[in-house]
Amino acid sequence: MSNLTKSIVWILIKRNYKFWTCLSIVLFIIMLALLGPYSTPYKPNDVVTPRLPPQSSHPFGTDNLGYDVFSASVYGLRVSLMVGFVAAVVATTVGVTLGLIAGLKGGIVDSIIDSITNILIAIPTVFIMIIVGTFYVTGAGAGTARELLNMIFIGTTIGLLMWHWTARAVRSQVIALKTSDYVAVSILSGNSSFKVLIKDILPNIASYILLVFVIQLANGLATSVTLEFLGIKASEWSLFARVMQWLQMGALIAHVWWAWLIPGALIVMLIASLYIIVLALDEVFNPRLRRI
Amino acid sequence: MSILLNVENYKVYYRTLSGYIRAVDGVYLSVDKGKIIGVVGESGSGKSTLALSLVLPKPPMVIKGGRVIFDNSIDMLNLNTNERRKLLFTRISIIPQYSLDALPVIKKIRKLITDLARDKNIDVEELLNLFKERLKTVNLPDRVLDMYPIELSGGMRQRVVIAISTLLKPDLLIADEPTSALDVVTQRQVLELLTDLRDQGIIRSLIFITHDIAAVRQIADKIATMYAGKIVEIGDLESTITSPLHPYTSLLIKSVPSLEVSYRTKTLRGLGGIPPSLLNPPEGCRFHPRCPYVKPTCTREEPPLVKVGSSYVACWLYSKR
Amino acid sequence: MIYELSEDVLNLKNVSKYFYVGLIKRSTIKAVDGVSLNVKKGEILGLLGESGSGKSTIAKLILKILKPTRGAIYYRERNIWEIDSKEYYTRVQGVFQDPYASFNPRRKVLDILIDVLLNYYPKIERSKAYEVINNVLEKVGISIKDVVNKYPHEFSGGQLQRISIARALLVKPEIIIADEPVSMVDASTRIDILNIFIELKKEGLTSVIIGHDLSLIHYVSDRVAVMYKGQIVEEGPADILLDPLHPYTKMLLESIPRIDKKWSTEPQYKILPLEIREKTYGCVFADRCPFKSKKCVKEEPPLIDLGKPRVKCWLYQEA
Repeated sequence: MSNLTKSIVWILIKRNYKFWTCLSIVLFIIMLALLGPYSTPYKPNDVVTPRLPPQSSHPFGTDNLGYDVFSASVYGLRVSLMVGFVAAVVATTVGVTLGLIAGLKGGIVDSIIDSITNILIAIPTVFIMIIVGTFYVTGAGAGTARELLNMIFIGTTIGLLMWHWTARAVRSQVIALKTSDYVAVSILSGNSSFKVLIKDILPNIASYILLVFVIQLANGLATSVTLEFLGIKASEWSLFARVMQWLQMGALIAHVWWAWLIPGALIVMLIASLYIIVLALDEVFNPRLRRI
Repeated sequence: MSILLNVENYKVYYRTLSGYIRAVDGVYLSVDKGKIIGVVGESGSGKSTLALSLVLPKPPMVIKGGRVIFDNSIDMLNLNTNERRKLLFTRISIIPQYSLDALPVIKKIRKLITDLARDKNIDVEELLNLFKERLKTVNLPDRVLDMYPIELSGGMRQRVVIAISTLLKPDLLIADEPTSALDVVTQRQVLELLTDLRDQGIIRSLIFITHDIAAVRQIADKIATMYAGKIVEIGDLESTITSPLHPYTSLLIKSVPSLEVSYRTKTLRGLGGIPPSLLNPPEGCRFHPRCPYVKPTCTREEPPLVKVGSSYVACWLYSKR
Repeated sequence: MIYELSEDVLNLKNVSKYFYVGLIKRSTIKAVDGVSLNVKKGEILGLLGESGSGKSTIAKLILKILKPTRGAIYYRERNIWEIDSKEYYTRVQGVFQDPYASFNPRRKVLDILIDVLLNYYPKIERSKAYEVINNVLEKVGISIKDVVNKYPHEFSGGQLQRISIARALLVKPEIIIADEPVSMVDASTRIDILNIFIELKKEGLTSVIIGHDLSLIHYVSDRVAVMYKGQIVEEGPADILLDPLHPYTKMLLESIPRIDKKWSTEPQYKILPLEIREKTYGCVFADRCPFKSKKCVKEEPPLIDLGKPRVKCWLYQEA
């Protein structure tokens, strides 16, 4: 019945408006971050006329100090996104590896990894991130090597505090697969543990790992933005650090709503879209959730 | 008229990108009042689709034609959603396959009943009392109300499901594989329970759908065999079991070893070949690729359902071309 | 010439498998409880039991998927855990209940079969490999043309189960353990698949066929053992199923739906309404047994030897 399965999957993806809408939003925002800087003559540090509402020369307007919100957004999003991305990559890599090991080996190794994840869950991770961030990160100039280093550093820190979730998720999937009949048959067929891992287990958790990565991306972005608000920014141009500055300098009072609402809306839509993509894909991958 | 449900030339397909899956393709069936009819079919026969489509048709299921008349007055295929909703549970009830695993795990049984009452606009107390009465019939104690489904054994859960679906004394109960997940002793209890419900008048008629012809033999009054979306034989239990007309029915009966037989005394043979594709069913009689009596006509034309004695059979052995 | 009694190829000696459940309030589940069983060369041994009886656990124990908590399993007098697994699997193979779950859904069936040969005969040539696979597929009634390029979901349940058996036969094992090989297959093809084991017996294969259908187990087996709650309650030639000794087996026989006649009278073995499983210290069937006595509740009966059959029931204790 392969035709039937293929049709169902295709129909689900094709008809899934949620998926396509959200995917478009995500791609749009990423495009904004990548190409935005080339489409604006202003740099985030340029001071122009203050308090201009959104108009053709300033699509997002200017804030009460005269900074162009659009250029601040597109230059700054890059930083925020990069941090979130690094966090997701680190969390997924570490989490998948440890989850695989814990699930496959079991026994003492599993218990050790389990204890570590338990500790990580209990620690208030934002607290640690703030401490680490405050001590290490200094405001770097935009586009410098220092900025890159900072982004990688913050991203990695966030990732190292997020991997436990991935590890647990992957571990339970691996255990479910490990006890399945076809893995038993694979072992009976003389396949080495390594071959079983490569041919039987990994391909069947690949889609799961993809979903987990996207979730971690959303989480990582949210955390990166939170840290920026608290002053831990990879560079002067980190978007939400700037938004925070603007708020502190009276953007609210000056009724320049576009200065904080637009960047806020952007990031909220991005994170929300990522989550909805995961939900939509889950429906496709997981037959039990289908409403057919 | 003593017919509760009359089904004529009923067609239910599934719409897919590769075409229509013809799960129910011209089915004729009639259920008499007060009787139990067993519909026997294997994988790819369309029997579950038949059951579900009568009660809860949902996309990608598409009803493609036919007539289904309930109690001589209600045209089932021309009901709107509201009318169908009203029928469901009060006059027709279904126990779907795997229903004993479909009980919501985190709700106590009592909550299930109160939710149902709210849904159907019935007084909660009244429904609970009805349920307690029904629990007695299914031989379960009252305290089941305050238990979670997970605390009950498979047999008990199945009996809870039966109690719920017969609460409002439906005329017709459709049970799709109600005992496949149960052990043999519980299976007997549940099947005898279904017969009891009919004998006590709590339900009027029962359509019992299964692949287990021996189970059908125990409780049914009439037996219908289904193959590749079509009914190939309907008849009284005794005559069909002792002298089956259709080759498929005959082979099905032979593939259930009677107890005294062992391979040392006699080698039995099952039905060869593979189950039919409902996407591209065989030309002519759908059973012809596996039939020991196949003739050229069988490969070209579909045999009509004809009356032979007191049974109906669709086979060229009994009709003239 | 002294006629040699058939030798034992497998021996389970007092094997138990316990599972411990729960984080705080630990409880023990005795999936298999003190089972001693022997399998003779060339026979078909039927293991009859319902779900929860421990029969699938026995299969996993024999196939080295699980390790016994107590007792030991011997293959020709060697403890199976002292035999290298890869070597062991050239002697003992397995077939499981759900054919669709037994194959990796993302791999082509033929590739899975070729893998087996490559694992054990790494230098085998492609053409020779196809020849071997073709021969083995013929034994189970499938032609290799029907298998090429297909994924598991493209086969019917019956076909896939046959291919499962073929996979097990590729390494020319001495024994096959089949755990419910026909329960997920259409009723009309079950006999055909069981007949495969009967044919293979003629070539010297020893089979252990595990199932819950009394008529089918009786049909295909030479000897049977009946399991209930982790223990063997009755054992003997297949015909004991027609006239059983143990009350549990009698209850099973009375409840199965037969094609030739209806259930006769009121069942003799009424189950208690809430199926209360009290902790029994004696016989494991005591809480449901219509013949139970005080002794049954307190003391666990041994497996009593009555010549060919053996029964675990106080009713058969010598006076």
